Order: sequence, then structure tokens, then C-alpha cells
Amino acid sequence: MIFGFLPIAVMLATTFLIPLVSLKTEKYIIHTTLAGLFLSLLLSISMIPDVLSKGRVVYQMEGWKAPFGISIVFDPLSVFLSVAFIFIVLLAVVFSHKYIKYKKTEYYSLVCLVLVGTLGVINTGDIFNMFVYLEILSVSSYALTAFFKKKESLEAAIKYLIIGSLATSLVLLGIAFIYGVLGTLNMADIAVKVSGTANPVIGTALALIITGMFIKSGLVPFHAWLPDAYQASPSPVTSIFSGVTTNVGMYAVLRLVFTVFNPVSVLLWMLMIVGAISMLGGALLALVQNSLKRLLAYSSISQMGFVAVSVGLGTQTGLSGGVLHIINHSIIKGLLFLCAGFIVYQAKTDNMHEISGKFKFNPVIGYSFIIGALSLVGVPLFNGFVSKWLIYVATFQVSPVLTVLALVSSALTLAYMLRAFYLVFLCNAKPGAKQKKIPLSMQLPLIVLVGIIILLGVFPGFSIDISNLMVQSLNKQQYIGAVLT
Amino acid sequence: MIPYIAAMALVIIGFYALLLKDNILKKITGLALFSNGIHLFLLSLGYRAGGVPPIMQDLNFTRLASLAVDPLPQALVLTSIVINLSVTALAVSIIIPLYRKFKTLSVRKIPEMRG
Repeated sequence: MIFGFLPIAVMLATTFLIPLVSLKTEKYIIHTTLAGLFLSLLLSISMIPDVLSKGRVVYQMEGWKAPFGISIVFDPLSVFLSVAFIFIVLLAVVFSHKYIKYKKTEYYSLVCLVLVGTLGVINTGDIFNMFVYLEILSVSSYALTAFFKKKESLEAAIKYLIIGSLATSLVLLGIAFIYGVLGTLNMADIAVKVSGTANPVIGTALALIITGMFIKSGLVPFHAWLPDAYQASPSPVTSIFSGVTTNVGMYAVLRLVFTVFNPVSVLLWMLMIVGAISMLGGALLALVQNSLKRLLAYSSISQMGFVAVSVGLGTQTGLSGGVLHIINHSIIKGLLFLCAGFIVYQAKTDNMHEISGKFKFNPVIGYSFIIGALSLVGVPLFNGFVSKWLIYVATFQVSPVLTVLALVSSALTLAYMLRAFYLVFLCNAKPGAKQKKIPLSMQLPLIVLVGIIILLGVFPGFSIDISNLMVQSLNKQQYIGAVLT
Repeated sequence: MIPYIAAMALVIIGFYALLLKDNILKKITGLALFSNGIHLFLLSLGYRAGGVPPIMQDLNFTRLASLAVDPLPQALVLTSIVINLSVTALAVSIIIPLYRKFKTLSVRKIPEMRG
């Protein structure tokens, strides 16, 4: 059965079709990319009914049975995350149509390759395969960071490359330890064998892998690469980085800690402490930034901290809140970075003190930005409120200290988002400043994302149901039962 | 035992160069050493003294299983070598324009590297 591999295969084919299409003319690149993304999105959506009725769909590559072959596992967690991530990339590509003016071939094939890596990590059932897809994702991200070949983008790219390669090497070392002790690479098989051993090497291996994944998701002690990479890369790519690639690290931590290995209290404490530091530290650092994109980057770190704290509680509510916050954060940050992208595109600078004079208040951008900002803070009627409320409730059930920290971070979020809004849109805005017309391909993604934010916020039951389904799919016994039959 | 010690030495030297060397090119070399140490470690996991290649000469499974080396780490290392090649190539292709822009590869002398 090869059917399950199709969303990834379509993206991989698109990646290598783009250079062929652009041999004569660059006119049809955008059509090819959009067609591939739409096909992949439809294939992922078409899998949802099957996954919901059976609980989990497993494909064995080339018909090799589970512990020997590579299995691709679709459960509610991976399918809903795939749909969300493909959708974010689709909107970012629509936005890029007028934004990227040269080197289109390289740009669009690298963006497709990032998506291949993401979908691979999320859907694979083999731990080495996960490493390979993580490397695909990372290498294409390094190249996209260096895309403009300006001074700061080259510097950010080499920094990202060194730190990111260190992270993936640590992951590989952890995988080597696991293979040495357990003699298997299939995640379900590891889950079976790990419960029978008390070998301390397993703990070391898990620590190495999780450290690598923390570096990939940019939590605070390991965040040095993140603001530079976000600032220097093209804005639609930043929206993909923040909305898609950083979440991959958190997904891998979730899957490994709760499904493959056992959620022992040391690991949960580690998640909570690192999460709390990132939550507060990211928000405090965001408060003092002068560059709009750096501010949003630090805000991303802070929101990843929320996810880590909530996941680290280990309770049902905490996990739902964390998983839902991953999706909500990627929608909101997708919107905010696209707004920032348009502002930077028009003002030719991302220093907030210089932007305001060059930029006239524009209704589409302005309202999208303020809705995204309020949703990020967690104001009711927007989607950010649902997941933040779940996080507050879950932390209060375990320790009210964490609730206070989360509330303080939310207050800081309000402070820095309002500062950004004031500096960019309100402070010394000249009515006569020249204003370009916004192309439709740049407006459309913003309007769609604002619509989703409001819909998910007004009908919270829908997203809470989905997040509960996603958390159930972390169940260890069901995962083993489905894969090893 | 010797391959494991060598692998550990490679990992430690690579990590040292990656963290403490000033020149970016040396950092990249350290990265290559680091991952080659991991490759050596993986290969020694599947090594067996006097082993034969895991190719079936006759249909005797038990003889093959008792003699052959573990082929899986070799496959993993091949994959990982290819990945490392692409990472190093990308790193060098970023370093060349970086040198043209800054006229140095020292991390301390590039002001943007600090933030």
C-alpha cells in the first residue's frame, strides 16, 4: 500500500518539477507550486474520515511488516497538524507571488522541500526516518534563510546552520544509542522493548534527542539562532518558519515522550522549567526590541514556552491546551508575519521607529494586525483565547504558580503587541505618506487567516473536540497495537 | 573497544572545535568531525570480528545469522554521510559570499555575530 505516502510524494514531485517547468519561462512556477500544494492538501483532508472512523491508519512501505520496514502512521494528531501546516504554507506561497521577484525557481522548490520534511517528520513511524526528514527540513531552511544573500542573512544562515546541525547530530547520536541498546528503529517496537529494560543509556539517548528538538523549536537556553534567522529570511518564509518548522520540534517531543517512551516526572519537570523560562524570557526580550520581525520572533519563543509548559503538565487538559496552542499559534503567527512582511515590503525597513512615518494606516493590514495581536494575547472571541484558557485551567489544577507565570507572560504579550501596534500604525503617521496599492494576492491570505481566527474563536467547541481527539492519539497501547499487527 | 574510544575522541574534538574555535571554517570542520565520530560509533555497533558481508550465498539462515555483520548501521551511515555532504557543501557555499562581504571569517570580528 503506497496510498498513505501520497501527500509527501506529491510535494516531493512538485519540488523537482519546478526546475523543469522553469526551463523555458518562469511564468508557470506559481501555478505548479499551487497545484502541488492543493493536491497535497486535498489528499490529507481525504484521509480524515478514514482516520476518525478507525482511530489510526498505518501503511507499511513496500509491504514490509512493521519492525522491519518503515511504517507511515496517520492518526488524528498527525493528520490535523499536516492539514494545518499545508494550509499555512499554501497561504504563504500565495503571498509570495508578488513578494519574490527573482530566483523564483530556487525559492519555490525550497519552500516545497520544507513542507516535505515537515510532513515526513509528522507522519513517520520510524525514528531514523524522522531524522532524515528533519535534515531535509533543516537544510532547506538554512538555504531559505540565506536567500537574499545580504550581510545579515548570510550571517544568520551560517549561525542557524552551525547550531541546527549540532542539534541534528545530537539527535543522530541519541538514535545510535537507542539502536545499540534495543536493536530496533521502529517507534512502536521501541515502545514495546523500552518497557522491559531499565538501561540508563536509554535516558541519555532520550535526553540527547530532546535537547536536539528543543534547539529546533528555539526554547530559551537554545534560542540564539532564532531571532536572527527570522529577521533575515524573506517574510513569507518567516511565516512558514514560525508557523510550521518550529512546531515540528514540539511535535517530536510530544510523540517521543508520551507515545514511544514513558512520561517520567524528570522529563515533565524539564519541559515545564524550560517552558516557563522561555515563556517569560521570550516575552521580556520581545518588549525591548526595535525591529518588528525580531519582536515577533521573540514572541514565537514565548508562545512555544506556553506549549512546553502545558505539555509538561502531562494531564489531559494540559495536553489538549498544548496541542491546540500549537495549531492556534501557527495560524496567528502566520497572519502576523505576513502583515509584518507587507509592512517591511512597503517601508523598506523593519525598524519600528522608522516604519511609522513611511506608512499610512491601511485598513486591511491594520485590522489584521490588531486582530492577530489580540488573539495572541488571548482575548475572548478569538482563537488564542481557547487554547490559553485551557492552559490556565490545566496549570491551575497542578500548580497555581505556573498559572501566575502564564498570566504575567500574557500581560507582557499585550504590552509588546500594543507597543508594536502603536509604533507602526499610530505614532506620527502622516496622512499624506505615499501608499502603494496592496495586490490581491497579498490581501487574500490575510483575510482568510483572520476569518479562521474569528471562526475558531466564536465556536470553541469544534477546536476543543479536535484537540481531545489529537491527545487521545498519543495513547501508547493503541499505537503499538495498530502498528505491530 | 578501540573503535568506541576513537569515536568518542572524534566527537569530543569535534565538539571542542565547534564551540571554541574562532574561525567559521574550523567550526564547520569540527561539525564534520563530530558527525564522523557518530558514524564510527554506529558502524562499530554493527561490527563483528571476522564477520562476512550479509549476502546470502546458500539458503542457510542460521549460518548467515551467526556470521554476518549487522547491515542496518551501514545503511544508516550511508544515508547520514550523504546528508552531511549536503550540509557541508551548503555551509561552504554560504561561507564564500560571507568572506567576500566581511573580508574575515573570525566570529569575533564580525559584529553581527554577537547578538
